[in-house]
Amino acid sequence: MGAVRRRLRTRLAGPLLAAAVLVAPGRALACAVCAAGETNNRAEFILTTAFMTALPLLLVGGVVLYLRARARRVHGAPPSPTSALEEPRRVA
Amino acid sequence: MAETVPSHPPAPEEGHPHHEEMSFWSKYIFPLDHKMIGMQYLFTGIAMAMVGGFFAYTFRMQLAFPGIEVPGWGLVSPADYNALVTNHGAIMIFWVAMPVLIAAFGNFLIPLMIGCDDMVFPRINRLSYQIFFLSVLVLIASFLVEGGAFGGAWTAYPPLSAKAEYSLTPLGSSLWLLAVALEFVAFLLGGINFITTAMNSRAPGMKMYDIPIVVWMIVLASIMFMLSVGPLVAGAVMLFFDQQLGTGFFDPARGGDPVLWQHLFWFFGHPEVYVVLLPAMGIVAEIITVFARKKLFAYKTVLYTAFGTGILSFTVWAHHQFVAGIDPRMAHIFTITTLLISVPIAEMCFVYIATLYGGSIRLTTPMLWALAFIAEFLIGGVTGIFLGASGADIYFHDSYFVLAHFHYTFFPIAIIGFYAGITYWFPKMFGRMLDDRLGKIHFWGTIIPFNGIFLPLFILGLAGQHRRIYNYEHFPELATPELQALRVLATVSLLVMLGFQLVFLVNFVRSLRRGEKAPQNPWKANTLEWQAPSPPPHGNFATLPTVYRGPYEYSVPGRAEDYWPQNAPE
Amino acid sequence: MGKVVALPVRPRREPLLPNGVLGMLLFVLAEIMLFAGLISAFLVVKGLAVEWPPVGQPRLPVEETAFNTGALLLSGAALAWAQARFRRAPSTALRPVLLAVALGGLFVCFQGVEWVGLVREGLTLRSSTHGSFFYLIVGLHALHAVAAILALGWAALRLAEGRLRQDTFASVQLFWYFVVGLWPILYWQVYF
Repeated sequence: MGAVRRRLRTRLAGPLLAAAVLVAPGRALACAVCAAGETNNRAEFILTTAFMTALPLLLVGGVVLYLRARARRVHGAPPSPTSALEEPRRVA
Repeated sequence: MAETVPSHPPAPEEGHPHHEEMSFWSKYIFPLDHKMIGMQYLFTGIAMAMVGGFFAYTFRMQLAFPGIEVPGWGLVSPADYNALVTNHGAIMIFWVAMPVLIAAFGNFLIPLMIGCDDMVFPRINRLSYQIFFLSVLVLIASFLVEGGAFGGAWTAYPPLSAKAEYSLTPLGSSLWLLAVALEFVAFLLGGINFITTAMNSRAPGMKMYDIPIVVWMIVLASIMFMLSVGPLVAGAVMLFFDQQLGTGFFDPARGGDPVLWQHLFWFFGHPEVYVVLLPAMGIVAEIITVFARKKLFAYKTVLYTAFGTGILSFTVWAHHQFVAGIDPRMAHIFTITTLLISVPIAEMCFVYIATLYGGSIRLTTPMLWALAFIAEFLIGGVTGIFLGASGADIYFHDSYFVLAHFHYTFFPIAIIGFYAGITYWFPKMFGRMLDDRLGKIHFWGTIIPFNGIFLPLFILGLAGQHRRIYNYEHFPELATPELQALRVLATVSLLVMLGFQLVFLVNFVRSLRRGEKAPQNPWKANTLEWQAPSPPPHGNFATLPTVYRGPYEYSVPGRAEDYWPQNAPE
Repeated sequence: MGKVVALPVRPRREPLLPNGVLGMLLFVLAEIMLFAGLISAFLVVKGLAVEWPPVGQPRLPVEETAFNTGALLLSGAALAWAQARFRRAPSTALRPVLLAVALGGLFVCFQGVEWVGLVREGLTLRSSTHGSFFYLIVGLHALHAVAAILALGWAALRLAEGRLRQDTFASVQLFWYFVVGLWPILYWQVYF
């Protein structure tokens, strides 16, 4: 019984914490000059923030994946990324 | 400035039978050679550092001794004060840290360290410096126009920056913005060159993990710069339109949004911190391995933490807006990401310390600078954690605590990182050795006063002292003799530190002319630039090198020498 | 000046992407971020407004621009066709390249006509944030289009002389595809 409850608690802990982190602070908006409150502006700020955060990472990720695919096409096999360091070092 | 490029001894001719004799103009003023373009950036950066340092001296004198006739400037008016702090910040970041750390070292080092003869786009490289030089001229012009130089802080928040009624600098603020935008274009061109060169022109045999860390870091910094600068250019165009064409992008009375600028600015501004940090970290990595005579501890870890830093750096910018009325849910997320980004940076510091462990450490001047970088940067990093927490930031925001924090990060990056790099690569750049004794005097004369400047400012910030105040005499709780004594301590430390910079200048100029001739590889280092003559001739290598191993094979057991150049077949 | 000569010939690295193409790709990435910043700013300011377009401001000509968008997309297709022909016989690619230039020129001219109409209806740079953003974003795109058309024209000239290299052509194409591909996004975000 206790084990089930504990498992339930550990399973719920993550989503609950995430919800607390994401939602609860919304109650704390105490900006005297923001008469707008809940306008589209706030939603757009959050939306564009997420967009602008993700975009550079997606662009670089896309280029890296494209180059990797191209490397595979040009050189046949993908160059092992560690081959340079793991060549046997001969001791002179 | 380009005109101040000193004439160093002619490049050794041996191994370069086809070296062309070039006129003074095509060699020093409009060069295509990556080394000479790097020198142009270096000397322009040093000249701008003197300007920025002079500004700091002027406004610190005003803060310590309000109303004094500052020698060399005169009476500092409130408008002067604003213009001085604004341009001190802008110059030190955009015209010192960027050109010296990325453009000067990047231009000089990348082709040499990856073993090729020049950048892939030499003409774009020259254009990059010319645009940069133009931006310097525009910035200087902003001081000479009607109304004076821009004084709305280096972050240029509207509405202060957008309307001449508020800023009182109708032309100065636009010229300032134009200078910043030109500077971005210059570095965009430079960055494209760096990335393309490092990808396509590496010496045969140089695989991804054989690239020296500093090259990786400059390339990563260039990628981050390229991806973050667009939104700020967009914002700069909008702000320029607001200033000169009467639009209302940032004017709430006309449907605009002033907080928008803060987002556009810091979307670039925060990655920018890492754009200048990574090259400095790379310089330190090179120096530490060479003078610990030990393989870099965990090369791949450094690389992956740098990737991680690059990724995270795009997710932290809104921590600058915690008090600007942003959504608290956003503030929460940005607190978490901000605290997270200290992890990879701390990891890099640990890796460097682990590299030192068990090494045979040689405390040469560059090594002292590299060690000081780690120590001082750690203080800056740790104090950043208080500011990254959105709750604590509400108290600390815009106080001298913030100011001291970022000077503890930017001073190590821009100044200590520069001195570490210049004392290490000076023999390669100019073919002469720097004087080690003067170098050490200069080191201690810089590091001790540096802490004397900024440690008191932490205390002042905790006491509630705001930034950007011209005279604290009108704040009864801040005008106490104890706090004034701390201000005087900071200013006196600054004077001492600036005085010791003369030692460096003397050392630099004297070594250029009369320094001991530098051998090809004075530090017995592995990386390819030390396998070229000192200074490298036009075209760099007599025969382009082939790479057989990674850059950090020091003290390999069983070898007679404790280093193993990357291009040595056996 | 230029490169030092008489270096021993040695096997050089075969780049994954030629220098010019990689450089242009990086430039395009920076440009994408520039427009992403503008679009984000536009959305934030639009979210602040009670009514959009603001009171007294004209509606943007969505239908006419749809035709214009079609012209630009066709020009991109013409360039892709040119590339296919270039690969087989470079000289046969000239006509599709000129077609792409003509369609691109049509796009820019049409937009100029549209702007004249909008200014007459009272939409100016200063009349509202709507007008400011419209002229800034669309104008910046038009500037890019003009630059890209000039680059394409230059490429056509080199092609006619038989001196156009594949990697040069590829980097010019990349820039044109950026201009073409960006437009539907701007159209969707700004006009609707």
